[in-house]
Amino acid sequence: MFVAPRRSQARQVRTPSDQPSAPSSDTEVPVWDLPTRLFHWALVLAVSVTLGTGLFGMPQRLNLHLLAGGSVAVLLVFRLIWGLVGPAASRFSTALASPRRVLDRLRRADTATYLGHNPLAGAVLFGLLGLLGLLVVTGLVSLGGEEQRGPLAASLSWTTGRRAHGLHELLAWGVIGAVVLHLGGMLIESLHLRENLPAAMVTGLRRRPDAGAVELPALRPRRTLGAVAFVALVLLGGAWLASTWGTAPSGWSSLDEHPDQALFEAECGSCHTLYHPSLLAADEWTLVMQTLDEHFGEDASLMPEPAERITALLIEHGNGTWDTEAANELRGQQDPAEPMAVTSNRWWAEHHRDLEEAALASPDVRSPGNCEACHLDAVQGRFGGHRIDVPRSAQP
Amino acid sequence: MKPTSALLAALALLAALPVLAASAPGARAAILDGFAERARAADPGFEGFDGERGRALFEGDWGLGKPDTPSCTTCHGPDPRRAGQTRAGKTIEPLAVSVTPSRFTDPDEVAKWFFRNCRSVLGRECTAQEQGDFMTFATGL
Repeated sequence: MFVAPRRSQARQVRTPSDQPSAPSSDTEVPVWDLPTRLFHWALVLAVSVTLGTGLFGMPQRLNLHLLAGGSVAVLLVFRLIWGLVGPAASRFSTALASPRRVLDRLRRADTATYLGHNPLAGAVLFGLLGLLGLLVVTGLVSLGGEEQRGPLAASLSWTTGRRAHGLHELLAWGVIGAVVLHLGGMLIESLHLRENLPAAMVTGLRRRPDAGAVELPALRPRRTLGAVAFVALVLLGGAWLASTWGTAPSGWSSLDEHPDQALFEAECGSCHTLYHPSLLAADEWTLVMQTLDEHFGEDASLMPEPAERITALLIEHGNGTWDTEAANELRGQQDPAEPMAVTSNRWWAEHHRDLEEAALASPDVRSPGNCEACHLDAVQGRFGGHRIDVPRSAQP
Repeated sequence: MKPTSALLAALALLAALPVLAASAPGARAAILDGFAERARAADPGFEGFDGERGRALFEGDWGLGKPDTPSCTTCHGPDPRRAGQTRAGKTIEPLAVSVTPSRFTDPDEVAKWFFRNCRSVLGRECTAQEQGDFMTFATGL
C-alpha cells in the first residue's frame, strides 16, 4: 500500500495533483486538495459549535447544537466518500495501517516522514471520524427518545433516548480526547520535521520531502463519482428527514381530539398555565378536583357536570399514560406532603434552582407555577429545552 | 336585482343592525333583571342597583376570605378599565364593559365567577343586590 521510494523513484511517482493549477515548485508539493481542506476547516467549526453548545449551552442552545451536529453529519458523508474516491492523501487506504505499524510509530521505531497520514495519524483520523459518526447516531436516538423530535421520535421510548444521551455525553469526551491527540501529534510532528503542518492544511502544500520519505501512491480522485454519491446520500438523508418530519412522537399524543379538551382548556387555563395532564398522577388529579374550593389559595369551584368531565379527562390522561421527558422525570418525585403542587416535585425543584427571586418578582413570571412564561410549549406538555425563552424582565 | 328590492334589502339590514348591536347589552339586561328579581325576593324594599355601592365593593380591602385575595383589586388591579393579572400570572381582561364588551353576557360565567371570587375575597357568596351593584358599576364605566 505504502510506497517508500528511493530518491530516483520519488521523481517518477509524482504526488498526484487534482488541481492542475496548484502551484508545485522544487521546494513544495501539493498534498491536501481543496475539498479536503474545506472539509477539515468546516469540521473544525462544526465540531467546535457542537461541543460548545453541548457542554455549555444546554438546553437553550439545542437548536444550534442540532444545526452544527447536522453539519457534522453532512461533512462525515463527504469525508466517507472522499476517503474512498478522493485523492491519495485523503484516501482511507493510505491512512489505514496495521496496529503493529501504529505501535511502531508510537514507539518511534518508525520515524519516517509521511506525506499523507503516518500510521498513528491514520489511527487518530479513523478514531475521530468513528467517534463523530457515533455521536451523530446517539444524538439522533437521544433527540428522538428523550425530546421526541427528529426522525426517530415516533419509534423510540424515552428510556432508550435517555441511555443514548448518556453514551452521547461519554462519546463527546472521547472526541475531545481524539482532538487533543490530533493536535498533540500534529505539534510533535511539526517540531520534529521543522515544518508548519497546520499551514499545509491551509495551502495544501507540504515541503518537498527528503529522500526516504513515504510518498503517496498515484491515485487520481474520481470527482464525478464522488459528487454524485455525495448528492445522492445527502438527498436520501433529506428525504428520510422530510418523510419523518412532524410524525406523532411515540410517547406523546395530542389531546386536541378529546371531546372535553376545549372545556378543560377554558376552565383550567383561565387563571393559570393550562397544566398538562401528564404533570400529575391520576390520584393527584382526583385530589385537585375534589378540593377546588381550596385551590392554591383561591376558590376555583366548578359546577358538578363540567368538574366530572374534566376529572375524567385528567384521570384518563394522567402522568402514567405518557412517555415524555417531563412525565418520566416527574414520575414518583412528587412530595407526598404536597401532592397537588408540581412545584413541590423534587425533579422540578432541582431544575428550577436557578429560578431566582428576581425571576419570580418579574411581572411577566410572577409565580413559580407560571410555566408558560418561559416554556413556550408548556401547554402541550413537551417542555423542550429549545422552547425555553426566559422573558427579559426575569433575566438576571 | 330591481332598485326597489335592493332598497328593501338595505332597509332590512338597517333594521337588523340595532338588534345585532343590542345582543350583548340585551344579554346583560337579562342577567341584571335576574339579579333584580332575586334581590326583590330577598328584600321587598329593594330600590334598584347602585354603581357607587358596586365601586365600594370592588375597591374595598375586605380581607374576609382567603388570605392571598383580600380585595377584588388584588387580581383585577385598581383600575377596572385596565387589565389585571391572576396570582399565577395570567392576564385578566379589563372588567369595564366599555373596554371588554363581552363582560357579563354569559349567565353561567357570571354565576361561576361571582361564586368563586366572592368566596375568595369576602369568604361568602355575594347577595343578588351586591352582584347587581357590581355589574352596574362595571357596565357604567
